[in-house]
Amino acid sequence: MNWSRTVNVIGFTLLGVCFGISLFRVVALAWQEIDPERIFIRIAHNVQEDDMQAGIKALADDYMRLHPGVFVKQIVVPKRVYKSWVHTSLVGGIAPDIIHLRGGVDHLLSRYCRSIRYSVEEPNPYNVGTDLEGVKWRETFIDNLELETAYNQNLCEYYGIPLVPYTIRLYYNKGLLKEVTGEDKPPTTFGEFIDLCKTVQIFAERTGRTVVPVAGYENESGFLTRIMSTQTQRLGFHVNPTWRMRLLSDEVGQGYVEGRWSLRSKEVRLGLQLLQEVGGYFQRGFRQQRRDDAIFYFAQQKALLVATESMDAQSVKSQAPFETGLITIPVPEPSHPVYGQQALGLSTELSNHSQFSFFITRRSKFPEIALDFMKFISSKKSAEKFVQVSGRVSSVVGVEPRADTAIFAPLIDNTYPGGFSIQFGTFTRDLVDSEIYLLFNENTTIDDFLDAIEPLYDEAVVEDLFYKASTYRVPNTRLHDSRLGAFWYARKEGQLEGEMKPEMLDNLISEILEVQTDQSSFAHWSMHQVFSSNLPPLRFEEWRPIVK
Amino acid sequence: MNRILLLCLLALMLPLATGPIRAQNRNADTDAAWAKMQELFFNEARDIFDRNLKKSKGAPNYDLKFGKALSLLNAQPRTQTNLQKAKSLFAGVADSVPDGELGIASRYFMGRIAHIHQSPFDWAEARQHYESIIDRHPEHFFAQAAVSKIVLITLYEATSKQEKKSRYDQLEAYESMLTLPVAKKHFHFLMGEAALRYGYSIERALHHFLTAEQNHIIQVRKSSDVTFRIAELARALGKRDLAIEYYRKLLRNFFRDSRRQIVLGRLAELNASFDG
Repeated sequence: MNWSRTVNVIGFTLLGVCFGISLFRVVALAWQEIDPERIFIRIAHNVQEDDMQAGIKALADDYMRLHPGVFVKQIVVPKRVYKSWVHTSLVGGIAPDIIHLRGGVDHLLSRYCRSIRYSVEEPNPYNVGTDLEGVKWRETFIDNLELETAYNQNLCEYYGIPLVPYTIRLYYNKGLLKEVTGEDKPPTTFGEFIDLCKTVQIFAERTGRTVVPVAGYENESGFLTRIMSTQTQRLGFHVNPTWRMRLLSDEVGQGYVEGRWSLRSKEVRLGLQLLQEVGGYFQRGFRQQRRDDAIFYFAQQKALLVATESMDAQSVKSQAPFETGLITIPVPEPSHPVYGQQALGLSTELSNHSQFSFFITRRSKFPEIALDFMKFISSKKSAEKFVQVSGRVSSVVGVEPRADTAIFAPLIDNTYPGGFSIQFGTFTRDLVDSEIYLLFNENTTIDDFLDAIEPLYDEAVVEDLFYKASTYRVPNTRLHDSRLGAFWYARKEGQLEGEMKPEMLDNLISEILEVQTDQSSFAHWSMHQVFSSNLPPLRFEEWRPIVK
Repeated sequence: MNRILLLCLLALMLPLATGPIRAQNRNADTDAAWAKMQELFFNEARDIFDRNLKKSKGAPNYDLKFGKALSLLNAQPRTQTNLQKAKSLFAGVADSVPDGELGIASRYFMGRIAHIHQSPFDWAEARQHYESIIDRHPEHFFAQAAVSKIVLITLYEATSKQEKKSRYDQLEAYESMLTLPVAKKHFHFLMGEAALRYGYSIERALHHFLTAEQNHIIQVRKSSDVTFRIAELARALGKRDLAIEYYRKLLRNFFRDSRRQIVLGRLAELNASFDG
């Protein structure tokens, strides 16, 4: 009896102690945040790799040493819940000072994030003493902050600061490569890559081992898309009649409607053939597998290669109990006998969005400090430190990558604009995805795949064009009417907010009109082409002036 | 002579007379509403304008009505009723002060409602509004801005090919009336794009893109696209020097452009170099 009582007492005492410690920690943390003597900056993201967290922590520590009154806290939220966590905390008014976003969502940015428009046009003070001293903050990034992870074209505002560019590379198993080929020489050309894949298949057959050349997964990190789009690089120039040599998704659809390309175009067929050939070296049923499954497959030595994104690179390495190497994705060179004719060369990786962009929230109690911290972490010296600690490449100009991960640096020199995909919007993507298994099935052919999607493809193109025009371009145009009126009124009345100067206001008005002109031009042209074509009749009453 | 003096005196007194009206309509509250609208908080802006309109019943309140109408264009949920309300507020201001700044702006936004906000669009009505301010106040910012909108509804309406070409040629006449760089830029950009889309003269396209480029394009991507197009069109037309100038400009000003390699190839074809 006494024993039972003693156990209960010990149990309740332990419970009480644990509760006390927890309470103390919660109160202490809360106290830190409300301590009037202390400036508290919270930075939140969803990257769980230790070295990435160590990278941010190292920079936060440096900043705190430089600014003793400031305390920077890193909050890491699991990927699966991050999106809903961000939304909830923004709407609930409890969001951290700085959050990681992928950009894009207009209402989220305009309502909950601070514009950094004026700051990006000024030099970053933390670059003093480096070769970036005196350079506009915007121009210290390899993408000039042009992409949507930094600049929101619809809102004409800069919001985000990207730290790591997005690239895709292939990991290979060094030991397995040697076992299969007899040497430690990874493929450097597309031809060598295909030869290696064939050798792996022969090896698997000969030894009876379960080994495939590549571990693939549902969207293969854009691996297949990148290879396939080499076949439409040249065709892409003719798809857009406006001599830009750079295609937007609706221009692909417009080109289709105008008959500049079709599913039966030689280049599209070659792209599908390439997709079929390379996809044939992936494990069976790879379209149903997730990234983690593919990495597990690779870690089990059941695949020689696996594709990975720059941000998740270290997790592959840490999971693989063997020595790994990295290669760039081999794409057909212009000299390739079958696929070379349509290819221009390596596609640029400049237009890839950053994967690690930070935004200041409107609820931040110390927006100036948050901004200063963003300048600090994106300065050249900090970027160099971040690269060393995290092992990632940097979005800051001239920052040398670490030797072991240098291969993740975006391909910029000697590159060309990429080609296009037959999946250029939600509807075409869904349609193609639903039938793409036909390309990887032993008993079906490219024609079977085309026969399956062709009857529905016209409608999907029209839906994609309409969707882009009506849910993106037209609403943005409308949005800017109110904004234009408000800025025009401010100019008329001389209402200049904060750092705003008259010439800045004039530029902003001009920029808003630029966006409106652009968006309207695309929307009007898309709808004009759709209504002028023989494609299925539309239900879109709104555009009656074009239909008449 | 006396009459002229009297007119001059009246003209001088006009700002004094309008001053109090403006001051009456503007306060910290309404300033905040304008700021909210700039930041896309349309519902909040509408509520502030509404509140102030209720407070000052009886006064003309053109600024408040104009502000409320503007916010109604995008207040959520977007309804046809809101758009009708906005239209009627704009119409009230436009009819009351047809030649005043707010009256002209209101007429422009009535055009915008008919053009792109209401469902279905009514481009005939939009054209009427746009043309009315262009006819009466050709130099005004909104009249100049309206020209680009006319280009859109004229060229992208469903018509025959011949009709479209004839419309395009007629639109060229607007070039001479445009005085503001911001309006020139957009007009020429749209005309240049349309010339290429419909397969009209690439010489005209080059002219339009060149003029657009000379009027200061702000967005980096758009600016690099126009620079590239000028070079390509000049190359196609055999204007070697112009092509080289603009290829070099692209390499110099947009040093991380994805078309860099193509441009270097083009320069080599033209026996020209780029020294960085």
